[in-house]
Parts: sequence; C-alpha cells; structure tokens
Amino acid sequence: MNITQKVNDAPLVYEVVSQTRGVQQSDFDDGVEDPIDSEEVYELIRNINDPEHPLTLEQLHVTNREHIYVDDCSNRVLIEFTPTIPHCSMATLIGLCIRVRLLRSLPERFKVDIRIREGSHQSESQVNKQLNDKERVAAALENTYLLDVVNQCLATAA
Amino acid sequence: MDIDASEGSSVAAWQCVDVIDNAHKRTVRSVAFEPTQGRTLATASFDGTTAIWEKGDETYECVATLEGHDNEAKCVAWAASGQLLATCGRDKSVWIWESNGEGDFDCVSVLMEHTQDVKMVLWHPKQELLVSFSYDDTIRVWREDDDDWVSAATITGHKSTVWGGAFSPQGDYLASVSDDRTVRVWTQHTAGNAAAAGSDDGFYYRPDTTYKCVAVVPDSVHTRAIYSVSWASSPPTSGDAGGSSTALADLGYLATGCGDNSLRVFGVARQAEESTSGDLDVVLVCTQENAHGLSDINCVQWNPVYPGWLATSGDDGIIRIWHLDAMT
Repeated sequence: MNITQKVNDAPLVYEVVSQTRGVQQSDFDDGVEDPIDSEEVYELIRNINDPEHPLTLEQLHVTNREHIYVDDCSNRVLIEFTPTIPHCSMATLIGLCIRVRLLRSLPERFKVDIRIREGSHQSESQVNKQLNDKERVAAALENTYLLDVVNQCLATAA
Repeated sequence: MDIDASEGSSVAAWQCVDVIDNAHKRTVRSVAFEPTQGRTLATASFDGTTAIWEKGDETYECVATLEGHDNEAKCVAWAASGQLLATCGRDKSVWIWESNGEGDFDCVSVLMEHTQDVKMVLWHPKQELLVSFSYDDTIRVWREDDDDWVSAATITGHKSTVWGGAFSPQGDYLASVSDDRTVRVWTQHTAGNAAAAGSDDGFYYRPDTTYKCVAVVPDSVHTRAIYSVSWASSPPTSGDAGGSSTALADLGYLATGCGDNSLRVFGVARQAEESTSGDLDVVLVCTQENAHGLSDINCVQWNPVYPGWLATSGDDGIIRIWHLDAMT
C-alpha cells in the first residue's frame, strides 16, 4: 500500500503465545470427522498481515482466540476483531481480509459473521453492516485493486 | 444452465435455450423480461449499465445500453405497461427510463432520496407506482406528479437493510423482507386516519399517502437475513377441498428465500370480521429446509400463471422448480 501517513504510526505489538493442541487417538482415525473449532479458525486468521505494518493481526491483538465462536453442528462462525485504535480507517479492509481468508478456507456450509468487538471502534455498526452484506462484499471483491491489497495481506496467512 | 427434474416426475427437464455471452463487464445482477410482449430483455450489471436485448431470428441482440449509475446497478424492473423501466444501484439512486418507441430509452428521472445503496425496485402490478428497497433500512414509494417523479411515501420500520418486496396480486398490499429477519406487510391508508393508525413505525406523515404496517413475521421465524419474497394469489377453489384452505389464505401465499437455507410459504388472510384494525394474519404453512442444500436462497418467484409452482435460486448455483401440493 502506498500511504505516506499511517493511520496508526505506533501500534502496540504483542508477543505471540503459541498454543499446541494435544494429540489424541481419534486424530489417527480417518473415520472420525474432526469438527471445525475456534482454534482451527484462529489458525486461519492469526497470520493475516496488517495492511499498514509488517505485523500480523495476532501480534497487534486485532484477532484473539477468545473472540472466535464456532458451532460446527449449526455451521456458524462468529469472529470479533479489535482494531488497534477507535478511528482506524483500515477496519473495513481488515474485516474483508478475514472474510476472504475464511471464504477460501472454510467448508462452504459455514455462515460466517464478522464484527468489530463492541465498543472498540467509533463506526462499528457501519463497518459491521458492510462486512456482513454479501452483495457488497462480492461487488468489492470484483475490484481488482482492492483484491490485490487483500491478497497481499493474506500472503503471509497461507 | 441445466435444471434437474425431480426424480420420478412426469415433468420434462428444463432446457437452456440461449446464452448471451459477455453481456456485461461485471456481474449481471438482475434480469427482467418486458411484460407485454416478452421479446425484450433488460439486464442490469455491477458494471453500472443496463442493457436492452431484443430477440432476433437467431439470438438476442443488444439494442440499447442505459448508462448513468456511478457504480453497481442492482436491479431492473419493467412497469406493467412495458413503457417504463426502473433501475437502482449502490450510488443510492433510482432511475426511471421511458421507451422512445425506437428500441431506445430516455431517462425521465433520477431519484436521489435514499441515503444508501438501493437493492431493488418494484412496480405496482396495475398503477404507475414504483417502490424501492434500500440498505438505508427504508422503503420508498414513488409516483408521477405533473411530469416529474416524486417521493410519495417513505416506509420505515425495518431495522436493517431491506432486500426486497412483493405486491399482493391485486396490488393492495406490499410485503417486504429484510436483513432484520422479519417480513412486514404494508398497506396504504388515507391521511385522515394517520392519527388513528396507532403503531409508531410504518410511515412518515405526508399530505399525500401514508402506509401502515398490518403484519409482521417476527425475527424468530427466519434465523438469518431474508433475501427475497414473492406473493401468489390463492388458486381458484375447485370443489369443497379447496374451501378451508382459502379461508386461511384469502389474500394468497407468500414465499420467502432466506440465508438460513430454508424456503418458507405463509398463508395471508384478513383477520376475523370483529377486527377493525385492518391487520392481517400471516401464518407459516410449510418449510422446506435446505432447499438448496447448505446454501442461502437468494431469489424466490411464484409462477404467475400456474398455481403452486415456484422457482428458487441459491448460492449453490442451481435453480429449482417446486410444486406445492396444498395449493392446487
């Protein structure tokens, strides 16, 4: 991205805490289906790059394990993300990156809702509305420039 | 597009008879056949244009391109007369075009009163009255006044994007569906009764026309955004068997397509004579879960001629034709 003045010049950077899941007997059994859980969804989005800084959403605490809610049986995923500052103009773009990442990685059966963590952004309802309007998202992703920006942010998440 | 006939059905499979390749530069979002002759097709695209196609000997030819929207056009609709066309889009505007008799269209009006993306436009089945549904959570009604188009009413009440709507077959009621997971039914009522209308959601007072809400399907029924609704009349009663069902649905049937993967049909009826509110009863008659597998249903449309037949489309990329036995 070519911006001379960053929205947030000095973000707080957090240490990444690595959590490994214990290995179970059922992991070796191909007949047992592994339900998708919040840990798996977190793995998909933690390394998405911030649009402005060479840092991941995890390092900036934009995405947090505790704010991912998955119900595999009813095919629902809810992700709450926390922009670094309340007037962050990158919020919609970050939300879009999360959505694209999941669109490309999760089984189609999932209905995904993406919201800004309540109280963390001054325009959260406007941003939430756009991020959860599938027609708006589809039209936005037909914009090649925007798609390039999203793909750049996702390059580290693969 | 191939459509599969239901297994064991005696109904023949649907055949794709034509494809218009490269019709637009981006997603084709809405298509509509001209209602009087059925030989002209309008297509609205995310590329901002609306193309008009005429059926020639071999295939469809583009006879006009209507430009004007700043960005994605989202819907195109023909008035019943076939003389007027309406389009709408993300630029918050509604455009009205008039046929000039030579295959081309002149822009008659650009209506800029919605404050957000306009998702759908819909003409009244009989009058030259236009309705638009928007991301700004409102529905607007437009009419012609002295050679210009003006806003006749703003209908409020939905709590989120209004995705679309449908008129009752006689045109006396309007149903709307929304991201707020409700279906609402509205009707016009005379300005003199504005004070008596009671409910504080439903209309802005204008000297001209007001609308009030006469039914709401609560947000507990549909569990995700509702994208489409269609309204069919009750089929003509054939003997005694039909009698009891039409009493329950004397105003017909609403079908809804929802993001929770279900297709639902509701019977609409006037309330018992004791009720003077004019309110309607909208009762769930049937639910088809996973009508398009685990995919959203984006559009539902009753067959305008044959009762009980319904077409639906979904995020699974498939068009399905349904038949509702209870209705014939």
